[in-house]
Amino acid sequence: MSGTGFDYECSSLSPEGRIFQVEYAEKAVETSSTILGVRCKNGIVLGTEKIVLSKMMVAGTDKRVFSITTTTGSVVNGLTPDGKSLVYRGREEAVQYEKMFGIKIPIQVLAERLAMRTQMNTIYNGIRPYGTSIILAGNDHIKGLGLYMIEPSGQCFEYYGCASGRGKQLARNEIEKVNFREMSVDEAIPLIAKILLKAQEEMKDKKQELEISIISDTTGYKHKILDRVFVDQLTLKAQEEIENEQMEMA
Amino acid sequence: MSFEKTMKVFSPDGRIYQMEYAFKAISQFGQTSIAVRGNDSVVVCTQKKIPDKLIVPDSVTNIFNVSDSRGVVLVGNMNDARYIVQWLRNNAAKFKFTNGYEIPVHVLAQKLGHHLQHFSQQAGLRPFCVNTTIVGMDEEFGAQCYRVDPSGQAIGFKCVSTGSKEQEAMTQLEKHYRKKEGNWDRKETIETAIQVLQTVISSDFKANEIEIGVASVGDVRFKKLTEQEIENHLNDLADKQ
Repeated sequence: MSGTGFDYECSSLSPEGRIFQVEYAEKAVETSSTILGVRCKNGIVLGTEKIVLSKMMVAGTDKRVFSITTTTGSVVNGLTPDGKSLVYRGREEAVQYEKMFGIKIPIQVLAERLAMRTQMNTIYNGIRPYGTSIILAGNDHIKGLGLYMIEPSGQCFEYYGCASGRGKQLARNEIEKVNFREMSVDEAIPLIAKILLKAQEEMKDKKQELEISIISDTTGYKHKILDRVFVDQLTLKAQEEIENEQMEMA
Repeated sequence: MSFEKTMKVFSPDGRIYQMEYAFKAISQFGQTSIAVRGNDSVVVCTQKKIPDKLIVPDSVTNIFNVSDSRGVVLVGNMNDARYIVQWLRNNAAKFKFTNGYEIPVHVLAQKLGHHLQHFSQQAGLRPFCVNTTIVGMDEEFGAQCYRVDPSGQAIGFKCVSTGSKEQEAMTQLEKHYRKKEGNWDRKETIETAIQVLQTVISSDFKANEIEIGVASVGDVRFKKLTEQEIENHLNDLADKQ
């Protein structure tokens, strides 16, 4: 897929009408860490898997999961600084919304605003698209729970379960197989840890770190990022289960 | 690589290649919309294709309300469409606030056309790859239907189709129009729209695969039909055939 001349700027369309810069940004996302979000009976779980780049890094400081408000959370992949920039924008939008309307920003409005911001970077020649997919989860009093995924093109849909990154296909297949909508968040968390670890199969020799967060009635619908110790224990347990499953199959 | 094709400038034969590519981009999304203007009602109709079964169906739509009584259907790049819907909503609300009555459809269409024209002339940005059809029951002119294309041209139509199957659909619409010179009541307008879409997509729809938005003299609010109402119309059509 070579653009030859049509792929230097977003303001250039190719003869078939494609915007190659956006497609290249999506490529950057496709080869990065897997992120996923799943809607359960009483809440939403967000998660991501990371490779620990170096033993010198302090564990837990390379964050990919962020809160946007106390009741809205997000997880990003791809170019993490781009993701952070989008998260900061989301926080500004939330503050401005609450100032103007007096209520916390509904998750649908937040998702649409960030989607429009992402799309804005696909029109001009002086700015490149965001190289990140962001999954937003939140709860509001208008529609209840909401899970949204925004891609570098600005595409934004509401999902029951979504995934992005190198393990996207595997994660999506697993999410479809399990009926998460009937499960509670506590039952779902260990399964999600397993899915995330399976999604980074090819990088098994390196040290893996998971980040998981939840919004559920047990947290009072506040976005809670699960703490390091708990997640590391989950990771170990999930790794054991995966090894046992592989031994059984062999 | 000839830069008249990569930049929005005139080529030696007088064409603006980037604009033509924007038009081509619209058909690659595989969506078609139909808008039909009857005697006292106006209907927009499009296929509802949910790309992925994990997506919540309500979040996928091509038909939007711009104000209580103005509606719009868009085909093409839905991310660009989101911006256009927001822009239309803003302008419709501003007009109502300043002037005290709902913005006439042709005024809204021409404003959008004027806005989109900037994106076809200014350097450093690309045109929106969206074909917009604005409809509504106008207080002065009755049923109105305007199509605004990426170059900024806003034209009023009696029936119009946009999207990947627009040529075929326009032919079909002309056929239907000639039968009764466009003297359709609300029910006939809806049925014409559904029939043309079905012919062009060559498949019979189920009620949850099609989206219909209607505004008519009895109820000037632009509303999307519920699945039950769509089901009734499809059954009536099937009985007739």
